[in-house]
Amino acid sequence: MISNKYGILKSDYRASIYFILPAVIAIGLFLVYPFLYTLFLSLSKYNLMTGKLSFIGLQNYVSIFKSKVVTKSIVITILFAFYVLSLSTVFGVLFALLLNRDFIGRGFARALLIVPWAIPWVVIGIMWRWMLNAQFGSLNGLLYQLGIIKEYYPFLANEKIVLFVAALPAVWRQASFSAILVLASIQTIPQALYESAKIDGANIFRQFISITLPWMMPTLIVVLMFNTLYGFMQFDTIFMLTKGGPGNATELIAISMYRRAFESLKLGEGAAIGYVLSLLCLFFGLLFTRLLRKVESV
Amino acid sequence: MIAKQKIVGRVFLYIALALFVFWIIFPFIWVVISSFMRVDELGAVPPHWIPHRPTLDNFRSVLLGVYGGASTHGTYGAVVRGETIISSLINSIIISLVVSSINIIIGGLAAYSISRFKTKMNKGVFYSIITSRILPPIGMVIPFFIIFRIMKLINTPGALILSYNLFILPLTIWLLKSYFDNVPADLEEMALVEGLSRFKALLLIVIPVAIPGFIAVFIMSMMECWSEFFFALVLTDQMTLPPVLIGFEKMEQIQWNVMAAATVVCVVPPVVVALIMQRYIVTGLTAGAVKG
Repeated sequence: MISNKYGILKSDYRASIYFILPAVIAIGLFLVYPFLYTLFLSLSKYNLMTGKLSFIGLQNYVSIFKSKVVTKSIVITILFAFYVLSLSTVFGVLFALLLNRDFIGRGFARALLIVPWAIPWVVIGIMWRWMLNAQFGSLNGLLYQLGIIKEYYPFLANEKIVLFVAALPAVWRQASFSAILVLASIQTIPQALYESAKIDGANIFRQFISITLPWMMPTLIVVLMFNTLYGFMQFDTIFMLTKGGPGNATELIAISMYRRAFESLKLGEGAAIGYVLSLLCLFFGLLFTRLLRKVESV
Repeated sequence: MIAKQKIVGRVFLYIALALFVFWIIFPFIWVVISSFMRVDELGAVPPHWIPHRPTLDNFRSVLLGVYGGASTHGTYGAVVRGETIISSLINSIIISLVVSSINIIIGGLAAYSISRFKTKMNKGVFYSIITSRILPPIGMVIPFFIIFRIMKLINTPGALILSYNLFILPLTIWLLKSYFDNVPADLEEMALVEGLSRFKALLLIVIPVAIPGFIAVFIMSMMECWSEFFFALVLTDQMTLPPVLIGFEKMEQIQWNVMAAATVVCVVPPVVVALIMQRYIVTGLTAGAVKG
């Protein structure tokens, strides 16, 4: 009756297996299997017509890394992720600090934070595209009315700035998301810490560095991780906003994969690109997870 | 002197707040305004921030497929749109409900097991879930595409119901585990001593305490399904609402005002739910993010 190596009752051990079993099957079918299948596909040539699968080794990887579009998309994605990560996090922290203050209408302002999070990614893309539109866009309209521009500006046509502009919809969403988490974290800071800091004569900046920042560090790392991953994985907003253009200026890895797999119907090469993206995400994800563990153990 | 400094501080605070409100509202306000406009007003320079001749025709055309006065705003293809958007709306609701319900049961049981029993299998499941939260679902769409083609599931609700498990299940288990971690084990141990089985203890003692968690997780997974775009694009032909929105582009001329109305229809449900359920969602987000 009594314990086994896990120190739990035999009946509990049996219960634990019954409880976890459906999930194990589902994870096997819907997570592990597709993951391994993708790896296998990336090493194969798949004929969509006949359904024939032939092993070709690393050939898909060779051809995607030879393709300028794909190698460029990796560079573009890293740059894009950097924009999303840095701007979202900075804005997120600023918003959280702002909304942590006392003011009239605080409930309303905090409620606004959840709005970008609730809007589907693809809709965020539509909204921004409509706002940035060169003929009817509201941003052009506003800047024109304020006398800042003389004529409407095609924000999404200039190759030099388009990647940065295309990152803004993701920043818009992630800044709010970051602010929600950071705000929840700094609300738990005991006021006594600030009181004693004030007695010691620490100004607001010092208080931020020595109290707020260390307190929210674990949350900040999680926020950084999510912002990085959403940058790397981004498809929806870009697909709606620019479809990867002009030229290939905003062709992120995800867009590149979609085109290879579902426009050129080269599923094997698509799978290879998908795997490269997975490895990139895995690398950064694990990096942040380790960082988090380090900070939490201090 | 100090009073003056305080006033200046207040002024800066409210300026910053105004900028914040502007940043949140400005991107979506134009879609909302446009959805009440006729096509000839869209291109007005300077823009009409309030439509001079507001109309509900765009909503009528996306929801009912009917509209009057074709010549003035020519909602091309509106009848077809009207049919697709309603059926997609229904599909979106059904798919979200089915996926969330299945996952909350499977995920709930698994999360409880992981939270209470540190067996090897449970640890394995938990690590695979952490890993999958890092991996991009986009990168794993191709196997689903190939297998569903063989199984003739492409362009059926089943394709999405099955494939959405890929990201909904990890989300559910992850969040519910952190809720169960916060339910003290003494409660159910007392029940076990009284002779209840584990399953009954979970059902009668633990779940009632963790109800807020279940609500949060259910809403969040509903919203993820509702918003999902990539799988719906690849595995179906406009089965749910998000890919339907893209469909407006394929028409000869984008009717921005009609598209705006469809966009508003897609956005209103999740935003309203999020605002009403704000507190649950925020605890859900923080539970999932802060506790690793």
